Amino acid sequence: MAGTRTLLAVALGLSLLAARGDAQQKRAAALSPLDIIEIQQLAIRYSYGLDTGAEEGHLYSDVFTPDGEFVGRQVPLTQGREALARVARSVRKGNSQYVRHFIANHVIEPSAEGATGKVYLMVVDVEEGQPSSIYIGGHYEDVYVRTPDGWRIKRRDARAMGPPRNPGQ
Amino acid sequence: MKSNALIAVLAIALAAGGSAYAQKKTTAQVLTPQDYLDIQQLAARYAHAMDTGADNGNAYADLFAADGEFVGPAGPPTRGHDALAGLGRTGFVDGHKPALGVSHFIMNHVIEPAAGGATGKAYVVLVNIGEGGKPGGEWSNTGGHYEDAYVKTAQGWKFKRREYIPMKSERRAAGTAPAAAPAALVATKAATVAPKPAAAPANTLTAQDYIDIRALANLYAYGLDSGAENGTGSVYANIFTEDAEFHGPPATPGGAPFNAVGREELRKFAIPGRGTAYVRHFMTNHLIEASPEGARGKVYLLVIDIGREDKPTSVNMGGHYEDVYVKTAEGWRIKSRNFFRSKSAQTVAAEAAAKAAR
Repeated sequence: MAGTRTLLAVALGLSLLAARGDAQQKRAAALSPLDIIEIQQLAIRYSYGLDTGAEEGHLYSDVFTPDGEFVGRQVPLTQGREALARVARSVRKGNSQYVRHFIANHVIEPSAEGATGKVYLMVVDVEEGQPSSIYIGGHYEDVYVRTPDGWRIKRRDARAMGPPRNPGQ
Repeated sequence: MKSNALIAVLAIALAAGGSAYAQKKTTAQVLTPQDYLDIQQLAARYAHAMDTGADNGNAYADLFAADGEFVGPAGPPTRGHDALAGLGRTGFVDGHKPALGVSHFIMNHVIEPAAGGATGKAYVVLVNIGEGGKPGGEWSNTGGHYEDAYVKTAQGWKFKRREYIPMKSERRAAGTAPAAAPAALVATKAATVAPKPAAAPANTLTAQDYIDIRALANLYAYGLDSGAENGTGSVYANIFTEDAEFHGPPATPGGAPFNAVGREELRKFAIPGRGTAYVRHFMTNHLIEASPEGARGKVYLLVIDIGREDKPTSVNMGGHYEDVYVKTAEGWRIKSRNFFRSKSAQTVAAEAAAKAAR
């Protein structure tokens, strides 16, 4: 009888521990000030990477996890750093003086996976001697995870965008 | 924290004059990095909540303290949760929510400690995106800045008051406005960024360092546009080190490039300014990295001329700054700032070819 009780107690204890572990896993960990700042900087680096195409597109692709993905309205799912770097390399006008992706209003929330975020975007074509225009705008919805190399975008969803001014540009 | 105190001096003086600062100095609370970031997040949420009307307007109302208020350019303040939720449901320039839930682009957010909490300012421009299914976006003629008071409640930082002040350009006094770079500031040095020193290792930046450096870049816009304090350009000048340099291309093709060395020359860029309601330099995407000197940064700029009834909003120019920041006894300051206009790869190649042909 004592043996049965001990067994039950151990089983109950183990199940309680497992439940607590699950709860802890699912609970969003608080983000420190540096976490918030690093995620903000990550989102900003995205713009520089895409507009400049720097480092053969890897400044852009390295803001994502190795299996990171970009989901867009006009483009098929882009997954993995090599595919993402190709996107940045393909920006015809990109160079170190080109600015186009202006982001604002970055809201960041802790999540079980790390963090999620929403950030406004307007893509502005502006160059001396040419009329400026807003090519596209909307917002991104992001999932961020902390990796050994720091915070990275696991998924960026850009489906909440209007149609671009000149598709195919 | 010294730098915070100095920025507080500058911005509070900008808003209320030196004597008011002397009074506030003794009572302003200290803001932690977490406080600054929470307030930034509050301001970011404002745009999302207003543009979407989420949770039947309650997402917007929840950003305000129980006695919080929104003050518009006309009519009485909107006060209390129910009235604010109503504004969150319906409030927009022409009575409808933006088609894609995105319109308020808020930039240049400056936060200062104040008695009872904090105060802040932020530029805003409303953009029409995808309205009527139209491609791309259009600038609206609505833009200006917010002046905020924040309070820390049991539920976190909230707006105690947010006032929207539409863009307004005060008439310059005759003969005081430098239309382009003053002759004394014109030199031949082109915008080039000093190479990073190779030997010294980069410092580590704390959360407070990032916050202070970001505040510098935001205060730059206020100082330049408003000419604070009282048209003297002192707020703008004091963002730089005593020996700082600024270099940029001409404002107009064929004009003289902008070059200035030292605070006194820099100060002239911001004289006399166009008043505290004038907004033009919208900055975002501030990338900051530790460097052997202290830190280096890049920040995007759009110079937006907010429209009026007879003249639509337009972008005067865009580009990016490349900065070197150093930590001085006064706090973080800009040691050098170079501005580069936005240029496509094709333009850069064409310019290089033309130069080679000469």
